[in-house]
Amino acid sequence: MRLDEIINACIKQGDAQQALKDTSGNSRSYLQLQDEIAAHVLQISSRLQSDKKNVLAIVSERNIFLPALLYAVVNSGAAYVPIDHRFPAERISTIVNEARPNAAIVQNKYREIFESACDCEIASSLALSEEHTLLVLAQEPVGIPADAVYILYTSGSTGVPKGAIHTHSSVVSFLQWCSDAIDCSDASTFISISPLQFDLSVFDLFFPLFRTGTLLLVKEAELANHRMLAQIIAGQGVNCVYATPSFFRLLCTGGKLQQYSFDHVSHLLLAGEALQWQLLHDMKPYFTKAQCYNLYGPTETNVCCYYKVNEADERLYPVAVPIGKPCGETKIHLEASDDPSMPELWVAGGTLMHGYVAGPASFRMLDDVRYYNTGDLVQQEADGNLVFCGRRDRMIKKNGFRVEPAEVEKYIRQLEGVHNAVAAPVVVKNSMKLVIFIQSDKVYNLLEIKQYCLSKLPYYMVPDDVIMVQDLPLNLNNKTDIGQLVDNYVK
Amino acid sequence: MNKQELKNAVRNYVTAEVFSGTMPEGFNDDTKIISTRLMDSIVTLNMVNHFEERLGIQLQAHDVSVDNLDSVNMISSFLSTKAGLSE
Repeated sequence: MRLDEIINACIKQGDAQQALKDTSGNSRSYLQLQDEIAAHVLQISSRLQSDKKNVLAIVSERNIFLPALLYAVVNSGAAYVPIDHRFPAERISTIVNEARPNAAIVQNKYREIFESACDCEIASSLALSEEHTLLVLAQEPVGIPADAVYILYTSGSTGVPKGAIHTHSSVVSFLQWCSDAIDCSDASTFISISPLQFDLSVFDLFFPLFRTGTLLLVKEAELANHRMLAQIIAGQGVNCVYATPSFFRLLCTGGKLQQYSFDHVSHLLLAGEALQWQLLHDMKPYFTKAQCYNLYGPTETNVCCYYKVNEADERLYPVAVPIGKPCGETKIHLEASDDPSMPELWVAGGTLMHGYVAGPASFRMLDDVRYYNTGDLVQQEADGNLVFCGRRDRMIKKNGFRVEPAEVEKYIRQLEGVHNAVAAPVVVKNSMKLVIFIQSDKVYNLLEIKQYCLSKLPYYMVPDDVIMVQDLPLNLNNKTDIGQLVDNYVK
Repeated sequence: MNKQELKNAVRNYVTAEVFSGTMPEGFNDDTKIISTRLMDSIVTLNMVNHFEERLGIQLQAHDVSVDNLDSVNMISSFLSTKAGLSE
């Protein structure tokens, strides 16, 4: 089944019920949403040929106008590629040059940022909503499958970002699983926490339709203020929240949660990074009625394993909350790694991406089934539950975002006088810092490094500390001894 | 605590949490830190918690905003007013 068919069927069923609301008091019923989508589909088709696969960049905050625009893109048979307006110009142009969107839906206040960052010609433009404009770009899109729905760019181990292509069937597989496993009631209220380029947004944008629910859209300044978000979740009667453990940690430490009642919160979904039991204990006194889920899966597979939290299980898995068992029809394979007690997790099933826009993906064939090698090391407990143990490579998660040290190093090595650079995660006082070790003729301070990285990389990839070193130590294999660097740093 | 002591404490906090303990050359009390993304929302919220406790005050949710907290000078003057500190 195609995603557009499901969207349209759900919206039709929603009728006069509320589909969207924001924190300024605006709302849309399903009927109004249906009309807006129809109008946008006409606008898009008036400027783009429907006989080819169009790719539309989306440069927008998540406001009351955005869902109808995205649903219209899907209804037009096109694929969308989100581009965060907070990204530096170089990152925006890298994505535009690779995915080559032939149109963009741009929130007017970010139009200048987008136009100056992408060096392609604007062929024409059309106002879509009070706040959005369709820009037709004079370039041919990259060749992607006819059934592609979106392309999400994530940090790449080769030093350049990778665009994961998801299709109607992969998105629908994910949403069908959600519908089976996440039993929140009809007309629930959901909140859009995650930015569009983060795959948690796929749930926020599409799953509420399955429950004829209401999606709450929150302003950017509110999203950066967890004390405000706590007030919003309580005041707006949100029932289901999907976010990273880092997000919930901040809610607990700075949200002043004791002021509010969260009895209406029925489902808390956590994903994007390792989940510790302590966080669930800290959340429990406030979210007394909520069922928590630990969802697992990289952008390439979307959610592929899940664990419905049962606190009595802590004694079985004392190290960390399990990532659980495969979702629905998902198959897993545990491939022996260097440490036999921690095999690598391979995943197969309907939610797998098609592939990357450029470059090969780590797919493996096994018994004629295509698996994705996640690079995550796991342990399987006797009851079948998986526990995440770490990575095979150097990829790290910072507040749920994927950070490949190679991307940071690539840019640092381009600085004047720099011979070599190594980025590594260091855990200090229970929090993870990204430290960059630089071997250079010229000395750089942390302000210079941060300002430089902010001009090149997404904000979540900026180092937390810089150490200038005379030499980078080598290990027995003549590779940089990162362990020694980290040990010296901690001392 | 007076206003100057608070400003020193804010500067020390930002130095410790944003610059790993060493005030870098080129940074001053007027350097923008939130709008430039030098300081993220995690550090911002932790800082607010820290000074609420030290000053015995409580900020409203809407107070925790870039409009009030975008530099060492802005943070210390906003907190000083909230806590009614003298010169």
